[in-house]
Amino acid sequence: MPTARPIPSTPGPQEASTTNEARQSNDVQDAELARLARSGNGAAFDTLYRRHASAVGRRLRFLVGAQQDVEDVLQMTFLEMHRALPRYDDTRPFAPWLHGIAVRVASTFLRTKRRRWWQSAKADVEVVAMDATAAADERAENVQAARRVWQEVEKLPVEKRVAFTLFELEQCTVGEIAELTGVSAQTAWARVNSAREVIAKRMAKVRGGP
Amino acid sequence: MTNDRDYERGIRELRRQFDDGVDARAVDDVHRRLRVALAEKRASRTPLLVGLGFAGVAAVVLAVVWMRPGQVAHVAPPVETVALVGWDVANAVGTTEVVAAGSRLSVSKGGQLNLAVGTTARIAAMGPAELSVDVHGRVTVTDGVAVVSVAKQSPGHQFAMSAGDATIIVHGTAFVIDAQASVLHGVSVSEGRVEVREASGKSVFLTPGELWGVAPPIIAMDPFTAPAWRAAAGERITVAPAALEEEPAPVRRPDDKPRPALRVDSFALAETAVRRGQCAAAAGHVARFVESAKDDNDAARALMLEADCWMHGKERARALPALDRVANDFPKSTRASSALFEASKLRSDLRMTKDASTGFATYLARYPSGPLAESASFRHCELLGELGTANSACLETHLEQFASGRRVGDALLMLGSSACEHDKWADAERAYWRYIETIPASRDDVHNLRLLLGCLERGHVGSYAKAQSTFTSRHPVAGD
Repeated sequence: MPTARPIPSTPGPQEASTTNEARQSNDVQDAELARLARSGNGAAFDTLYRRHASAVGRRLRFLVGAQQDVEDVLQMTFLEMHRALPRYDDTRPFAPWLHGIAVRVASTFLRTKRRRWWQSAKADVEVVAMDATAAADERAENVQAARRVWQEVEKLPVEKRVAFTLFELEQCTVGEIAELTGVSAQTAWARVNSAREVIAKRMAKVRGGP
Repeated sequence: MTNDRDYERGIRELRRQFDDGVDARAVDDVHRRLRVALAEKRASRTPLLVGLGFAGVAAVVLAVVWMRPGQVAHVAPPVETVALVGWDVANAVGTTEVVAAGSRLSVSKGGQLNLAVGTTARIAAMGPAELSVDVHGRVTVTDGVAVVSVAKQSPGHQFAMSAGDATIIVHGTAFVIDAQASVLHGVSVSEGRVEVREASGKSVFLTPGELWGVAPPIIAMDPFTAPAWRAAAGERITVAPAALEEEPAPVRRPDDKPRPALRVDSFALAETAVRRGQCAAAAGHVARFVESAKDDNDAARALMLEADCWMHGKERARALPALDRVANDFPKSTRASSALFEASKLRSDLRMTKDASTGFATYLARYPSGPLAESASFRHCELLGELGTANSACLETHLEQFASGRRVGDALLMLGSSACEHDKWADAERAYWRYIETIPASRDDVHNLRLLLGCLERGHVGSYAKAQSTFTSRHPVAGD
């Protein structure tokens, strides 16, 4: 069973792969585009969408799971971004700001979805796919394990779920999670740890373990 | 050990499956939907904003550069960004020019002149207006209204400009000035601290909300969000303290001029704070505004402004007092019903389920034909179910009252799901057939019917086989 660990401080894989210069150049371009989009320039908004939609979509896939939900939340995220552009501080990098919005929108979406308990069975079918080849080999067991983990993820309180999926699935650092969710690193790490323990304990219970 | 292994395998498989993100086609599809949504949003804007759009078309873009002797001014050309997004003629016509010291500038009615004094200050003059730039690079607004925003100055540095016959010295602030025929008429400050210095040496210090002279007109937009500012980005010009050492020209204040007076426009200040995401500051201004609001609608408008600010930040719960006040203290205002609905919705999001349910019930009692009545009714039933209370009576009432509403399918699905939760198989069966009879086939239909079919199968209901074949004939591909 995963146990509590001290806060890790190693940078995430994405941090290592991007050079500072390239990132700064992108930040400048994004800030310009944001300024234009803020004043109603549709082309600038489109360009911002094209530059960031895939990365945001990938993050949302980890956070919300089902493809159809990801599309809905992606749309909501960019609508919210459009609404919030007047508040964007263009001296700060654009991408973390946008991803912060995505995490907030996804959290709200997950809360709403939980409220719609009567539709919950829909998602179970779609989130973890069993492809044609999986049934024949060891991967079938992996898919079953993934489904069990995901079932438990869906039962977590939204704050813990978000921290857990960002850490365990997307492999973000605790610092990144803290920034994205607007909490301290200690709080982020406490959420991750608590979620890991709860999931492992529940999985053990289902299998009749200790 | 087995469980550890299962956990790790599960996590690995989830990473593998989710790592692809969203496919390109879905990204394009969302893009199309976004364009439609944004076009609809633009179409629903008020006539005021349309008017301002025309003013924007007439805008002339200029950049003022102040150079110290021997120093080369660098104006960053906006090549990269322009090449990237194209030049949107509809939104940003005009050219960017470097204005020589000693120039006089005029803006015709309906136009807007944007001056960037390096990265230190931005001045947006609303036409008709006259401005000049002296040999030291100091800007004077001789006639007209201008909105000024100055970056915070480092210790020992000041930014000064002239308006009419007075000098204005600032330390990082935003304000509006109004000059007429070379005489300063009024200054209003929205941020920071401004010193208005008359020639006699007498100074008046203004803080946010304070006004000197006659009230300048309230500018209904943030002029610095105009596309024209694009051109000013990246300049690295500083205002030399030397420009501030000149003695300002003596103030000639005619006797009939109003004396400096103080007035607070709390609503405008609240709007500024909201734009900057400073909800606590906005709440203070709103509270002052509500105290002296001329009617309930005005008070409700201000409180909703505050609530909106909190709801889009990280402390959403802080929107509740403002929403509750609108709903309960100003029940005759046009916003009371939406405030009650929003407060209930927010409580539901914050897991205050019981209070949320009560809120929606109150909405239905107060506004049975209100624009949000159907949603309130549906959410009320939904929350009853969440609380574990039987909600079938609530859903039946909903289906009766909103028989042709847009949530009939969802209500029938909830009715079936609730019955299923409580092992009431016959009720679930009835809900399934009512769904089939009432709701036309659609994409959502497949999911909903599958959900109900699963329930009928679990309950071994008599009509399961018939229900299965009805589903297959209704959705031949999905039914395979």
